[in-house]
Amino acid sequence: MSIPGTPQDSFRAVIEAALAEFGEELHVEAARLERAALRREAPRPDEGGFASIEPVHTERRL
Amino acid sequence: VTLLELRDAIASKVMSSVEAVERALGAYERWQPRINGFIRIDAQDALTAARRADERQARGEALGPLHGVPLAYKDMFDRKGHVCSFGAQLRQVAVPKQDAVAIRRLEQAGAILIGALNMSEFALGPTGHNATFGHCRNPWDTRRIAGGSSSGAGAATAAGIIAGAIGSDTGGSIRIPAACCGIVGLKPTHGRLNATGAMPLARSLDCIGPLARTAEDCALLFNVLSDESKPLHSPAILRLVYPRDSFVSEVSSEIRDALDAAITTFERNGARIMSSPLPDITHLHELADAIQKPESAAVHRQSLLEYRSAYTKHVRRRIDAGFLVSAPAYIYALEQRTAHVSEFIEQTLRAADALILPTVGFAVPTVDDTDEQHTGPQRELVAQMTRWTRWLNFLGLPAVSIPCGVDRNQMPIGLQLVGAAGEELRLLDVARRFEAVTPWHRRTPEA
Repeated sequence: MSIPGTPQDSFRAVIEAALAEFGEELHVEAARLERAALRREAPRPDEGGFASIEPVHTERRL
Repeated sequence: VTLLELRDAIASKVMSSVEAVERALGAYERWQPRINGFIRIDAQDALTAARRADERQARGEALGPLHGVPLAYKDMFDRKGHVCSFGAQLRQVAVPKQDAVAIRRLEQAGAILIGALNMSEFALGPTGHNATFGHCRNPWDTRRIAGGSSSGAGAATAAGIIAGAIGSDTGGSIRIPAACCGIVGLKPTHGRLNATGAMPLARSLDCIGPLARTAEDCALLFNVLSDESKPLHSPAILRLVYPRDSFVSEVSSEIRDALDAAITTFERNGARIMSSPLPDITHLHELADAIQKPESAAVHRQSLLEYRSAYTKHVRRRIDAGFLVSAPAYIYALEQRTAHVSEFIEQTLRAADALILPTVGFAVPTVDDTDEQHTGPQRELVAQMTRWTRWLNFLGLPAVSIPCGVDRNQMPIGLQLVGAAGEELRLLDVARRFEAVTPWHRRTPEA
């Protein structure tokens, strides 16, 4: 098999191969993984970073 | 024979290194057809190295802490000039140009490496099934799994071919075979041991570590691998957390009874037993999954593209899902780690020396019952094998599995000790004190 030149190309090609073999099953599994990971917040917010930004400021900026 | 006993016998010239290697090779001949613990045996190289070790000893040269002792390694550590298979068909022509750091440290300490041990394909799977090299089997009952993915390390050590081995643990792959085979297995703190030259699976979760017959043997290997020489230590009065109510409904009665008996043993010997709530380990397991899948996909991207058909189908399926997990979800999972570790230390472990849990929640299953070529109940049983181990890879904390009893089939049962970051030698000392008053680590399977 000829190998595509860039990482972007090879990611695209390997995903296409994966979907060709497992199809919808992969989307379902990935969605399950994401849902599970995102289903609850961490025990408490990290200090600093975005956690220290007041919501009102975030809203104004947005 | 334990690693320390063997080391001391060689150091005191009760036995030569050549004799020790010949014994190991003899045990290999007896056991290998039944358990398939090795992918490759390097008999002549090992005998040559042993002769040189004996000559150095005869000349009075300084001896390393593993001088002349035959050991082996999961076939995922680079060793110069030797095929490193990762348990996979496509890697059978891969010959590293230099040694992994762990291999170098074992050899610098004087160990004689007799061969490369069986493992699950790319360390993906907790049972020891391997479609290319043949399934690894449990020396206590060859119809049953050795556990994985460091299957050969568990089986060959329990069988007495070697006194210890090194493996890796991304979701339980040291602790599960240790539990299934009735030996001791240590997953160190994430990042504690140098894994340069070891096969990556998911770098945020991967750990390398030792398996051996006793806690002291594991401590010796841990010290060699970390290039240190620190003593075992723990307080006179142990404080242990036993969150019985949090897990009792999820494990079989045999596992529960064995852990209860172990707690009674600890109490009789002066330990203070406390109860704390467990964190939401289902969620921590999910976070580990959300990290492992995309990291494994990234590791295997190029190789899957070139050699897709050389991967076993269930291994391909495990890896492929990771390509579709979104980057924000992956990063979110990674960012949760610090907060969850803090919560675990403050609310569950508190100031205790160790948390006690099962390693696997049910009796050692058969090879047939866990064959992932099938779907349905087999796949669910396999998924349940990492229930009590994988969440600790997410937290990155050290954990050791020790034998604590047997089930109705006389198969080993493992107990897991979990500690704070960097406390490997404290955990191993708790294990050593348990071994001092229990017989389980002295049991050996008959050839």
